[in-house]
Amino acid sequence: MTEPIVLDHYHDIKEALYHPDLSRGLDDRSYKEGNPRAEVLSVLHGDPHKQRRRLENKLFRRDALVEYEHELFPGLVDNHLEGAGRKADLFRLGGELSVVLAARRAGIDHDGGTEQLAELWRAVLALAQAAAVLDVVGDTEPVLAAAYRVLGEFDEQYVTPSRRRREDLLDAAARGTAVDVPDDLLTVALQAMRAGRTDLDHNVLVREAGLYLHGGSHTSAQTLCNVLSLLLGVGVNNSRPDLLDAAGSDIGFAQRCVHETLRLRPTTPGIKRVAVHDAVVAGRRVVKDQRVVLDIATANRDPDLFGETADTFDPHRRIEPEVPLWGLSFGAGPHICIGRSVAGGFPLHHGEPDDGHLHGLVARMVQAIAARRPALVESDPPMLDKRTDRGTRWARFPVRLQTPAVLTVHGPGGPGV
Amino acid sequence: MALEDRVSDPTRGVTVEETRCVGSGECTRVAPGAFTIDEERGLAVVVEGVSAIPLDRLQRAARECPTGAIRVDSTSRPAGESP
Repeated sequence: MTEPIVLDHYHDIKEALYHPDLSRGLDDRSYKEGNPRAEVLSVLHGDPHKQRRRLENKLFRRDALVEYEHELFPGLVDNHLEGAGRKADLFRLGGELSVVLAARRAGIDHDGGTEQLAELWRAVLALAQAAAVLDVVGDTEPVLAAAYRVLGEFDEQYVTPSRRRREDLLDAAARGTAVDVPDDLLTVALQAMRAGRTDLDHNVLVREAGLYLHGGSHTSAQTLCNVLSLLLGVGVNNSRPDLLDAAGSDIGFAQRCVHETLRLRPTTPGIKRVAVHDAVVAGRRVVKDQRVVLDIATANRDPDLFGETADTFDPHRRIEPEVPLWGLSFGAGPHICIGRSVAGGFPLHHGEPDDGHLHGLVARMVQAIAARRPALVESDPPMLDKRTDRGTRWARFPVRLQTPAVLTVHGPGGPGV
Repeated sequence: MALEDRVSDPTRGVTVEETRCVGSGECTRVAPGAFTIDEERGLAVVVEGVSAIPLDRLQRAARECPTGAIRVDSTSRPAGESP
């Protein structure tokens, strides 16, 4: 097999992410029928990918994002943090918080109770491992086997019953009965299936719902932990109480912390592609089936774009508006992260944000947690997840919290106590 | 690019390349009034209001389109704005 080509310059990577001859469908064992990721949005290529994006992008319109961030999430965060008490695992807390809205967006009904949330979160952990199968340290077979098992249980307990309810609602609507038809993945998929506008089948729908579940929660939980690890100085004894307090009282600053963290610690530091034809990418020849590795971690630290201090954590960083503050961490081109505005909010550069600006759910979690002045637990330090070599994943992140919140949100412009 | 691949607004030189567009909606966020999403087809469409949108906002919409589907003619100007 030809050695992979590695690209690590920002503009070269961006060109590669837009290139029509580089696909995410990397290898048969990991990405074809019979595996947990077959035919999901993130591994499709070309016209099938565009058709699926066009169907699913309608789930991420502004109205839905506003509802999530301003109406649904604040209460969820407060309830979860009050319920967490004085010691919490931020990875699990952030994950279970995020999975509530991820399930809603996917159309996965649950009772909202702690048991089912924990069950969904356990499913996310298995599916997230399978999604990173190419970065797994050690044998991948158990990872894939766990994902198959989880998908089967997920289908039986959640997807099939949720689908049945939506079929009944769509049937009632078709008869002219006034019903509230939800706006979620299962529903839009069923509508498209009924109209013959998609070739989705139930098995793909289960895997797609699984993608939404873990895509909408696992990386958010990881980013939450990465932000707090930088603010608390995990591993470097360089805590920043000034920045922590600012994040706790200013949602705009919390968002800056999230974007700067994403830049420094992309949840996918090495994006992988495979050439579907011989091609030229960023001036380099690639042959069919050759892999291309896009080194996001390096590109995001380019001093020409991010300044001489590109290697340091500086939420006050100012850069040219053509480059997002998060660099390439959400990707670019056709496969740009579909949930980026949910998690990261709208892009933010100089000056005050527009009316209607969204800060993103991760910033909301950061602000709420920072407002409770978290402190590391000496006897139970945060632990990285060593089952992949990504280096930005956490297995657990225990902290002590002050409850109720010590800080109040002051808004953009300065901290308040 | 083949003409049939573009949806043009002749008053502003703003086009959406349908073969690239996936209906992400970034354009409607950045330049509301210039674009709308045809939810039936899942594609962005240039609307009449584009003539009132400042050039720099349209250029930002083009820049933030995740698939590079938007083209803005650099000689286009909104009504009343001098070159």
